[in-house]
Amino acid sequence: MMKSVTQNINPGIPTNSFSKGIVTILLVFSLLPIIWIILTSIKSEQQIFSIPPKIFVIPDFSIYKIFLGMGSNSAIPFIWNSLFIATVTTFLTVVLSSLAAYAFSRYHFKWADQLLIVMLATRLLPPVTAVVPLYLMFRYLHLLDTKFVLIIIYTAVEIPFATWLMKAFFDGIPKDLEEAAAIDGCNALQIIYKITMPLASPGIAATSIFVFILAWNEFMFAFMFTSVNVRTIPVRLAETMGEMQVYWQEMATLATVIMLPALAIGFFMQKYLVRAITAGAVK
Amino acid sequence: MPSKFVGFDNYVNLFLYDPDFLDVSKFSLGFTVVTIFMEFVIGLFSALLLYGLVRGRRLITSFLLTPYMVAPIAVGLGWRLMWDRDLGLVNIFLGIIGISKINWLAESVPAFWAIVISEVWRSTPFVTMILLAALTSLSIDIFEAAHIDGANRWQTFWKITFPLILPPLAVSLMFQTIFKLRVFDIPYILTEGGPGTSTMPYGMLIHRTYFKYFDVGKAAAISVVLLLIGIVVALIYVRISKIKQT
Repeated sequence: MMKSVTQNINPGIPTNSFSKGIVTILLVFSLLPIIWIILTSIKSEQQIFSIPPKIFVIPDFSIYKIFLGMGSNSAIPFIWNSLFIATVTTFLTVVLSSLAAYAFSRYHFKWADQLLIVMLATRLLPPVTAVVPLYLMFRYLHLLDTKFVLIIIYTAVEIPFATWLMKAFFDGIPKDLEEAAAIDGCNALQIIYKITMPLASPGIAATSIFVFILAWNEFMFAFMFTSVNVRTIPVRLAETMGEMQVYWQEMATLATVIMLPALAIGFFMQKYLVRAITAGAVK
Repeated sequence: MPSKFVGFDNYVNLFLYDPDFLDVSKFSLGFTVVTIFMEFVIGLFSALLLYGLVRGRRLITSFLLTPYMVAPIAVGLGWRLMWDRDLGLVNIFLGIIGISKINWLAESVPAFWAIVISEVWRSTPFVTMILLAALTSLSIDIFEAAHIDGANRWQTFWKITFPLILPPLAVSLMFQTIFKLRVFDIPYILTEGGPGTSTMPYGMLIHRTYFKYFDVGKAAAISVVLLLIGIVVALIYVRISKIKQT
């Protein structure tokens, strides 16, 4: 009885065989390309080119062994570059943006609202427009093709959004606790580190995950600003496209290596991630 | 060679004498309008479907959101495999229903649709997620009241649900517009802007002008034009969020 009432007032599309069919189609559409890449990565060259395509194959991990091994074709250095850059970017972005967001959330100062909107506007602008001036500037500073240049760019690109996100989380934490701590004799920094930050940890987690995945996946800046020394794993993936042909098994293997961490994070930390993506738009 | 001040020459050349710029603008406009339309129809529909699910909503939501986690570069290569003339699943499926092989990435019209569908595949979860969050944040009381007052499903949707989720819908629309204008990875991998310049977004034109033809002035001029378009879209977004607050 209860259930049928909720069904009637639920504004969503009711569950029936038609809607179940549509959901199935959407699931297949969403997952098939991912499954197909993973499947291709464990097929041998011969199986990839067989028509009709083989679905059940004896897994062939030879390319994984090359890429994750220690040989000259190993992908480990690229994975390490990506991991290092994404981790440092995440750390810098979260430290800087949470302090900025705390100020925006707790203090009233002149031009605060305008500053926030300007920050959001910078996120709305296409980063590719900054490529030419940044390139000239970093070439002058002799910083091209270093990890540092990508860390600086990613941090600068992520800070506005991370600040907005952290502000939304700080706004949700009541001021009373901080006032109580102030009365008990905590100074401003102690309040931030002992009271507010622990309470905001879900927000910090959401922001970190989001920033990390964006930095891990980024291709355009990495492609244009690095050449030999610090190529990241997405750039290495793009190199599997030869002049005349694509090396499918190598491509699929590297694509899987890039995808799996992000997919795992997305799947197990969906709650945080959804919060991060929707915080700006809903509420 | 000393540099010389050229006034607005770079812009004049761009708008009057550059066929590539016109091609790229046409592609960007068409691509933005078509992908956004598709993403919103599919996104809204999936959000409503997910919200209506009684069982398994969480798990199915997780699965539907996975494409958004995949690096765009991996999306590009994965879909390149899907669109491949001989190995691609798309042509194999079309073969089953009796349609002959299409050379998706080598002809301009099929290439346009291949890029559109690959991009829609990756970005729709973003829209679904925002709309699902918007739906979940609505109080069920309103719908109960509507039900008691005798509103049917269709009326409830158009008169209550849709107006209430319009502000987040508009916000995600603005974000998506900007994301489409700055698209780079997927077209780069699928077609490298070809054939010719028929599927080239602004980002790739800037890249090519600067890194291939070393024309800093022209690349900067294209960047400024793109920046101005971005500012206009951003201003519209700020307007909408202001209306939302009052």
